[in-house]
Amino acid sequence: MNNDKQKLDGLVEKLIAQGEGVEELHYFQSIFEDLTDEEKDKLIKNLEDELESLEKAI
Amino acid sequence: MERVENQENKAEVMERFGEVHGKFISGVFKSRAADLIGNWIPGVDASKMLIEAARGKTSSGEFLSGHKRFAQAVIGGSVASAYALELTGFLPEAVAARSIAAAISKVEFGPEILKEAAERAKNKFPKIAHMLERTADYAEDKRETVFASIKNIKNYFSAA
Repeated sequence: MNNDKQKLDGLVEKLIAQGEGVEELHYFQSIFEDLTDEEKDKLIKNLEDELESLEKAI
Repeated sequence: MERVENQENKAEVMERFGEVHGKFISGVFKSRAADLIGNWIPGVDASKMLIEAARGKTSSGEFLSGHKRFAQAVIGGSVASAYALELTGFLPEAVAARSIAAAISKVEFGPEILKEAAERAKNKFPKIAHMLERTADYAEDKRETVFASIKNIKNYFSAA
């Protein structure tokens, strides 16, 4: 499993713990290897931003 | 706990990012559809096709939540890609005669559109095939949204 996929899986786990939708996140995991490198980076960035926002949220 | 000005709650964050993720996946499917149909098919615009397929309002005008818009974006994008795959099978003569729109509007897709498109694409477009397969699994309990996307795309081609 490459680093990007590991990163994604780690983010997914944390987002689910924050209450984010399991179905959407599992969908992203399922198509991840079909994405271009640029798309993978973008997706990971979006999820990181979301996690950061959730951790700050009330 | 006292709320700091402009501080979001978790539901607001998830709503906002539902839209972010929807835009992201729309971009991915737009890129795939555009790769398939390119600029050589007159009257067919990948962006417009996708927007039509993934329209986020119900027929009554009710606005959908971030998560429902995400589902709409995923399903609309993949249905648009399935139609784009269908277009790649059209003969150059049909393209030259600009009869594409009329022909494709007559194509009848049913609820298994994504699985069928994935099967057809397997040899020639394996990456798209895999994405469509995964989206078919995701869309299994969202058939109403699949039907709505098919209807939207047919309307798009009928008007083109």
